[in-house]
Order: sequence, then structure tokens, then C-alpha cells
Amino acid sequence: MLEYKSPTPLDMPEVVTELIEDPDPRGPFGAKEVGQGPLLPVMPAVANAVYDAVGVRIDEVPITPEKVMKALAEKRAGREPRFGPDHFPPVNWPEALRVPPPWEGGDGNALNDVQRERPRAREEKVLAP
Amino acid sequence: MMRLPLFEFRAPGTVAEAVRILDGEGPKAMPLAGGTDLLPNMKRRQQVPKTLMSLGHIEELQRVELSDLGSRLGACVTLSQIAAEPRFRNGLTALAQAASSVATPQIRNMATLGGNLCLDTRCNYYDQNYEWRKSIGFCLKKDGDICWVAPGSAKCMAVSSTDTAPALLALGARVRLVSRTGEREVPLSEFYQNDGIHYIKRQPSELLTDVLLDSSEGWRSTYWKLRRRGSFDFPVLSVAAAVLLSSKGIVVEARIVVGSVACLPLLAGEAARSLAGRLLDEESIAQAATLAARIAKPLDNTDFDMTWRKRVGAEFVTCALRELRGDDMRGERLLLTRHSSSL
Repeated sequence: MLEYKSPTPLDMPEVVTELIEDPDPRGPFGAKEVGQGPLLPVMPAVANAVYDAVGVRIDEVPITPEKVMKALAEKRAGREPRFGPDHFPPVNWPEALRVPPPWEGGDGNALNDVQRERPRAREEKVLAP
Repeated sequence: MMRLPLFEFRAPGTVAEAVRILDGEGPKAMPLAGGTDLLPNMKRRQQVPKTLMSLGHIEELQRVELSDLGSRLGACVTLSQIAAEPRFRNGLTALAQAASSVATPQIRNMATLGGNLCLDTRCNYYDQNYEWRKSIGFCLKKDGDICWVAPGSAKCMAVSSTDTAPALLALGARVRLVSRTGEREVPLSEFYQNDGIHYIKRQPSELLTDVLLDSSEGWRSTYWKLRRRGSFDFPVLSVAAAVLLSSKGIVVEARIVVGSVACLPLLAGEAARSLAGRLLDEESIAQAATLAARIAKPLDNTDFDMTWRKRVGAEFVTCALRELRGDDMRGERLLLTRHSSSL
């Protein structure tokens, strides 16, 4: 986010809001979240619009002129007309923490949190002599 | 929240008093005009003057004298004033366009012409808060000893990011510098130097008081600016051009300046000379654009990809020169800014 420049009102295109009143049976009083849901389709929609317009795939946002130009250069050179990372970066995810709820006897601690157990062991050592 | 460091504050009422203060305080004092760049920089500890000397009470710095023979603009005239001045059209259009493209309306209401001419150079490794800069061991420009843009460089590569300097260079402006012992007039083309740290030749004891312009009778000028958002950002490539045309449309004299691609705005002398005695036709414009773009050597220390900033240089010069010969370039301008307040 260091160099990510958020658009100001002058940079934004006109946005038309359409309210659809459609109660969600699973939400309280029929309410439905409208925070992240509507955000996610925008990026692929814009990327698809760019593809539709000039025939190149941009695989990262923001889609800037220089990225489109680079992908167009690839296209001209007869290579795959794309720009962006070619794979999702490998992430060494740690094991998910399992915290049982109170009705399963949970006390707020994770069952498999090895890091939290270590300080406890040290404490015992100090108290032992 | 970032807070200002402690500083002493002085507010002289005359230029004479101001230069006495500068003389007494030495390099640790800095003049404060609009403060739109200096104060945020102080919060990030990029600039830590011991004394701030406000210029806000000096009336003579706010004077504007415009005549057919030439103009004189006080250093503390705001960018909003310049942008709104209807007499800055035709010959001086480039200055009005440059001033109106700086940052946002609120900032332009405070920011001054002198401040923009002396604007601190910018770099992705420098324009960060203290903790960020500390985490990379600082850099050559402030507190450190390495240039992260070009680690082999003995020189700081921070980028000249002023909008009004390229415009005023194209207009052949001079600046007046006053010190306790005297005053001097320096052509703007000799005011800047190729060093991101010592980027202007103003001595710490000198105050930039005026910008002086010769008659712009018969001249046309224009300013083009590349940035990410048309509403706000510093330039990462700018082109200012001015031409004096004969009645038959032949170029008598031309000046082309490429800004924001080096530590100083660059005069494209060869490109300008190639236009002399010729019509502004496709061929002469293309030649001048190629020559002017060649001198731009952007580095990877601003927004946007540096190869792209280099690549579009010739197109920017082409747009500027086509506009000067009378083509309607509003469509191209709109593509760049994406909103109409710049037209």
C-alpha cells in the first residue's frame, strides 16, 4: 500500500447505485452484508473489460497503462499476451489454531498452540528450585 | 500520529529583517512560505530546521507586477493566485497550467511560487517517515550513507518534482536572491544543479524574493504533466515548451524543458534548436520530440515504471508542440487527467 494512490472524487468515474431490496432469510431482520461482497467482482470485471478491449490479460491490480503496454508488447512479439505474476506465491501456512467454544469446554486457549505453551514451561522451571 | 519537532519561530516583516535573521542563524534556519511540503517533511524528520522563519508577514513578497515589458512575481504569491490570473494566458500559459496542476485546490491556496521553485527533491526511499527510513538504515539524502536507487552512486538521485520550474525555465525566467550583503539575479537555467541534496544554488543566507520574466509578446507556451492521478500527484514526467512564431508560423525561437526525470529540470537545447527556422510540421515535431526525449534518464525511484516514463517522453513533447502550433489537444489532456478541471 506504500505507493498505492487511492482515487480522489475527481479521479473516480461516475458510479450509479441501484438498491435491490431482497431480504436475506439467514440474516437478522433480513439484513445482508454489502461490504466486501460487491467489491470482489469489480476487479475481474475491469480486467475482463481490458481483455475485451485490447486482447491482453492483466493479472494484478491496479491495471495501469504501463502494464497494458507491456502486455501489448508481448502480444506483438507473438508471446502470451499477459502481464502479472505467473503463479500464486508459495506460502508456508502454519497449522490452523483450534479454539473450542465454551460449550465444548474451551477456556479461550487453542488446543494446538505450541507457542503459548512454551512460556508456561519456562515459568515452571524458575519456580522449581 | 507524527508531530512536528521543536523549532524556534521568527516572523519578520520586511525582506531586510528576514535576511538579517538568515545571516545570523546560518544553515539551520529555513524560510517558511506555504509550508505544504516543508511541514510534512519536518513531521517525517526529513528536514529538521532549528529555526523556521515565516515569510507570511512580508508584504513585498506577495506583489504581482504584470506589464507588456515583463513581469515580476513575488515569491509568496500563491499557486491559486497564479492559476486564477487571467493575464497569465498566451505567452505565460505554461506557468498558469503548471501552477494549477500542483497537488489539490487546498494545497494550492497555501503553496507559493517561491516554495515550489525550491521544492525539496523527492525519492521513494526518502519520502517516508522516520521509522521507515530507519528500518532500511536511512539513505544518502538524510541520515545515511547509501543511495538505495543506485547503491554505487556517490551522489543522491532524488528527483526534481516541481511543476513551476520547468514552465518558468521554458519562459526564460530569472530569480532574484537577496542576502544581507547584496542581491543577485540568476537565470533559472543556472539555479538548479544535478545533485539530489544540493539541488539549488541558493545559499543558506539568501532569500528567493522574486521571479522575473521578460516580455512574452508573440510567445506561446504550454505545460504537460504525467502523474498517476489527474487530481493530485507530483509529476513523474513533465514537459514545458515555449515557441516564438513568425507571422508565417515559422519558429523564431523555441525552448523545451523536460522535468521530473533527474535531480533538476533539463533544458532540451538541441531539440529546441532543431526547430529554429522551420514550421511546426509532423517532421520537425517528430525530430524535436526524439531529441528531447533522449535526455530523460528516469530512475526507479518515483511512482510509475521508469521504462514507461522514458518511453512516453517523446509523445509528451509531441503533444506539447502540436498544441503550440494550434492543434486542439483537449482530448489528449483529458485522457491524461481523466477530469475536466485542467482544460
